[in-house]
Amino acid sequence: MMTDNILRVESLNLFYATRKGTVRAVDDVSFDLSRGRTIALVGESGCGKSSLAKAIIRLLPRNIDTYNGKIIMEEQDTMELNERSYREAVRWKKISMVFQGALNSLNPVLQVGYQVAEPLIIHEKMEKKEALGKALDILKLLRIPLSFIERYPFELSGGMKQRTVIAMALISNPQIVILDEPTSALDVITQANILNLLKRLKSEMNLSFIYITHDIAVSSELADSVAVMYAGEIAEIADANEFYEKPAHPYSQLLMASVPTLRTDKDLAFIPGAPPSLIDPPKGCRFHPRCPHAMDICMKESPIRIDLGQGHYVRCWLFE
Amino acid sequence: MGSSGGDYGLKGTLRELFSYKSGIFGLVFLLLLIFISIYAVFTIPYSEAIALWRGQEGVYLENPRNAQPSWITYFGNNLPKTIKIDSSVENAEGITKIVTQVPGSDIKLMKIKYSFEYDYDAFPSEFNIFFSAEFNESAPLLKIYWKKPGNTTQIKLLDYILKSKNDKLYLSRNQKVSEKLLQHTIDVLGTHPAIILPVEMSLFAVEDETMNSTTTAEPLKGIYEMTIEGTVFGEGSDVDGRLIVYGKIHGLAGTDHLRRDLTVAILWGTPIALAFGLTASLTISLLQLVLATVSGYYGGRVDSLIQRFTEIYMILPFLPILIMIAAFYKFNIWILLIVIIILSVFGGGVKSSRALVMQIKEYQYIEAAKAYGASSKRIIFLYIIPKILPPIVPGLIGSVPGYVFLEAALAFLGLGDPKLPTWGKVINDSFSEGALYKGLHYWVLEPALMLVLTAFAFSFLGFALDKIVNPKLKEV
Amino acid sequence: MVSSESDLAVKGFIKFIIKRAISIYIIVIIAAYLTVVIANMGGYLDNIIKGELYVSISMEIRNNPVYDGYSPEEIDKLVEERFQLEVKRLGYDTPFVIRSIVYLKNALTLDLGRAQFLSSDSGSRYVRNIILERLPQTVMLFTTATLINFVINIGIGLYLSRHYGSKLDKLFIALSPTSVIPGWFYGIFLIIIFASYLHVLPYGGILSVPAPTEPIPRFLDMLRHMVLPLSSWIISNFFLGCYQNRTFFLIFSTEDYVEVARAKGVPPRQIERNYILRPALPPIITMLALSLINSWGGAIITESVFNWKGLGLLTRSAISIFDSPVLIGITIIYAYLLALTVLILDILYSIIDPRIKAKFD
Repeated sequence: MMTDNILRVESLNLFYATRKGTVRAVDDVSFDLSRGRTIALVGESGCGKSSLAKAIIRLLPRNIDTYNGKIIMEEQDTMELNERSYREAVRWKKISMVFQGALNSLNPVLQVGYQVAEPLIIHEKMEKKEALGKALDILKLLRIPLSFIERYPFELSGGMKQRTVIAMALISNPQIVILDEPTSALDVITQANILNLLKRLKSEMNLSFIYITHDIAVSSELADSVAVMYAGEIAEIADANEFYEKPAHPYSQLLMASVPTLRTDKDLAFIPGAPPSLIDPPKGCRFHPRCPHAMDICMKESPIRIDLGQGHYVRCWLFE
Repeated sequence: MGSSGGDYGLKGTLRELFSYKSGIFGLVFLLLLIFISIYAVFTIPYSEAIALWRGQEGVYLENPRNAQPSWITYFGNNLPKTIKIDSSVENAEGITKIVTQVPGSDIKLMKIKYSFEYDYDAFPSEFNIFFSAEFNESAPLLKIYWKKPGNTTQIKLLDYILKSKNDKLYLSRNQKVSEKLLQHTIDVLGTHPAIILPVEMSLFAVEDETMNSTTTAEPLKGIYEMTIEGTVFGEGSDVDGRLIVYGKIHGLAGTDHLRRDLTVAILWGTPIALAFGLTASLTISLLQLVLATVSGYYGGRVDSLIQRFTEIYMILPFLPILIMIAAFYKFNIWILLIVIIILSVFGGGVKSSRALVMQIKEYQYIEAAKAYGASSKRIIFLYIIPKILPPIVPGLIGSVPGYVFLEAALAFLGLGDPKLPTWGKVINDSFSEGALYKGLHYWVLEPALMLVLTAFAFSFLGFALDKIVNPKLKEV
Repeated sequence: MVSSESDLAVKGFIKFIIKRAISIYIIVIIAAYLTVVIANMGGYLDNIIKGELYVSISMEIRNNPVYDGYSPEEIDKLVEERFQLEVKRLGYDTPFVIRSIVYLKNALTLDLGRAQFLSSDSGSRYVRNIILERLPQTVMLFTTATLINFVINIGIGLYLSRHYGSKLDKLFIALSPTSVIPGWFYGIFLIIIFASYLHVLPYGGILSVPAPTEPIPRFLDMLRHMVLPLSSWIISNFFLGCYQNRTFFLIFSTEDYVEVARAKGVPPRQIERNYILRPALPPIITMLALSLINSWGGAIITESVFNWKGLGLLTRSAISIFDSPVLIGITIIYAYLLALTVLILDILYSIIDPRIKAKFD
């Protein structure tokens, strides 16, 4: 299988220091992303998905404790770049992001058009007129009314804001786009619209997406591969088809079982217990307190990454 | 994190308060203030304080004017204390009184000798004799003599006929005594002095060329003697004199230009300031709370009306109007308080509390309460007020100093209650009398520092409380 | 198409300003009326105005050559007659409610009459002139103080928000309560230290006595006299002002769109300018206006402490000699000052905040 890896993350760690202890938000995370493919990053609230996104795009909080690992884009480990070089070479040029809560992602006192065009003005040093011209192009692409160029964010609806934020993320032609819960705050119809839009962009522009969501059903629309995150770790990562057919990790299985299917009488599974704290995670396998298949070893040792073949990895003692 | 969310129990709050340094500061200062207030109220009852402050009936006549506080001597200057010698006191130290009856008449000859030690580095501020005499028709005739330490000769200061039974002889201001002493100085110097020494300096100066001017004169240390030779007429007549050598220090806080002991003002200023500030702050905050609740809860016309009023108040020039009222109508401090309350009641606090009320109004449990038929009154008192009360407490405490300073400011402008011993009044007096030019710093600093103490007590406390009540501020 | 749109916007803008000006002016009217009522509760205003009338009639008659030959008693009688006529004509004998309207009109048009005792440096006895003569000094000192504070607060506030949690930040938080002490009070301490004890700066006043006549030395002399009053205001405002701004900027810098801007690669200086400061402008301007308003009030006592010949000191003098026309006039002027500040604030607000601007389209 010829993989054209556009992004390789190896053993990425991101810990925060807080009053109550060190939060191990991203703990030894590794995955690959091929060009033109979408990886869905799935997990419960608080499992570290957003932190992972921020770790990849280097948006670090002030109370950082640990940040190391490898993030390789185009043969270069971006972790080695200093802040300035990173800003000039990587930010928004190689990788951009659509943030959770688009409603507040736009500066209320700047015109929408300017905000969309801003990356070009900054990175390509384009003239404002030219940049706005390009912004018009991308608005067209995303089916946003062109008059919005001069409008202010408060005049846009939720769906339009979301589109604008996506436009803003695409304008400098990045290769990778991280989307953090792009549709959670939207109603179902708008959600469908946005998903269709994303599908179209994916095919037309050959973009690679990292799609973060807690909604496993939604992710299936776009995903080529799926990574399941639990308590700061990647529990399982697999090709989409394989994942949806035969999820390996007990957690993944429970996730899949908890998705309601239209018009089928299904006993919805739920996962008992609550997500663990990232400050003081359970010893051994972090999922063991809630796992129906927990074994002795699970309580003592943290499972290693087991290769099930064909890019399917799982962190679970069941597969040793 | 809803840990301190709605938990405002007194104990819990106090405990949290201690975790903040500012909280401890504030509490300590506040306790100090309360202690001083209680002390003041109990040692000097209110009416007595007022009487003392008014200084009637010569209450303060024996205090020196503009005296520094006594403890200033610890910092070097050996300033004189007031020396009082009373011949009417039985077996008084330093007094010898000899009475000789002139045979064959009802005339008595008296010789009262006062002797005292003067050991200070500075001159006294004043020199008076207060007489208490008994006579019927003819007043006693007196001759007053003065002997400096080391000298064998006396200077005759004055021939004097008592003007009344309780006559007060202000030697410092006596023209004849001045002239006598000037002559004496010329004798010592051989020439007219460059600057004529005032009486109290002349009496105590070293007898050499330093008597030439006030800047060079030095007090002579040693035992001084004053002798009053008196002739009294009539059966049962008698003369006693109370010699007062006024010092330059007095009491804990010094004195002002009217000889009033400033400790009264400093001590009593405390409960007055506290009462004023707390009453103002409490009343205004609570009234604003009520207005905000009514405005926010009932909405509609009432709301608009109250909002209009708030806007009007914002543009009303508060201080000029207050000054105008105080100047025209010369109220006492408590009416002034009411005026201030009226002028502040529609202030900014209404807007912020109202915003909160509007928020709470929309909460589900209010809807639920309405659904089960709770009356508006119940909802307001049981649900809304407990929610909006805690956030205003820090502001309430923190705004107390503002009102205390307001009163001080009015007093400073001359609009204060002249009867009450407030700190502002003392500062006003001190400025009017040019305390700063005269180097009488204690007069300004003492009330100023009390004001600072009060300000810091409430301010630090208020800030600490704010951090507790608004946990968001902690994180940010 | 574009020009008529912006034309419309400008028209809408002007309409908005006019509406605001009117509603603010109504408040001025209310404030003035309140002043009139309060001032006259003791009959002061009546006395002043009637007194004025009497004096002007008296002067008019005595200066009129037609009456030169009259005896003093006849002149007095004439003045009295004329006075009563005028009182009736001008409606000064009507019930208070009606009279108060007349007084109100006088107050609003700044027809403030003559002072009882004070007079301006140029010799005028008209209250309006006395006040207007003093106004510039007050504005100069306190607007400068407010602006300096404003700039300091924003500058340091921004710095602190960037370094929040640092030792310096904690210091500012700890010392914030010191700002509860008003500027004039710090002024007293400053005078004690720098004037009374160290003798390096003047006790007060605007210029030394005698003042230098050359423009530059005169200006420097005035600056020297401004040091202590300005410092007292700066010290009073310092810690709390910076702290408030810092908290303020912190809140604004934790907004999502700021993080987006960082992710976009916007340089830090630009983020500060466009993403933190600009959205924060409307509330910042509000704070500026409020502190300006407060400064007019605080001026009264500060000027009294520093003997600064402005509106505040005039107030104190008027109080001590009890010159009621001046006091009333000052209150009215203050009302106008405040109203003007609020109006300017509203105008600025609507220019800066696009949300409000949009209402004009």
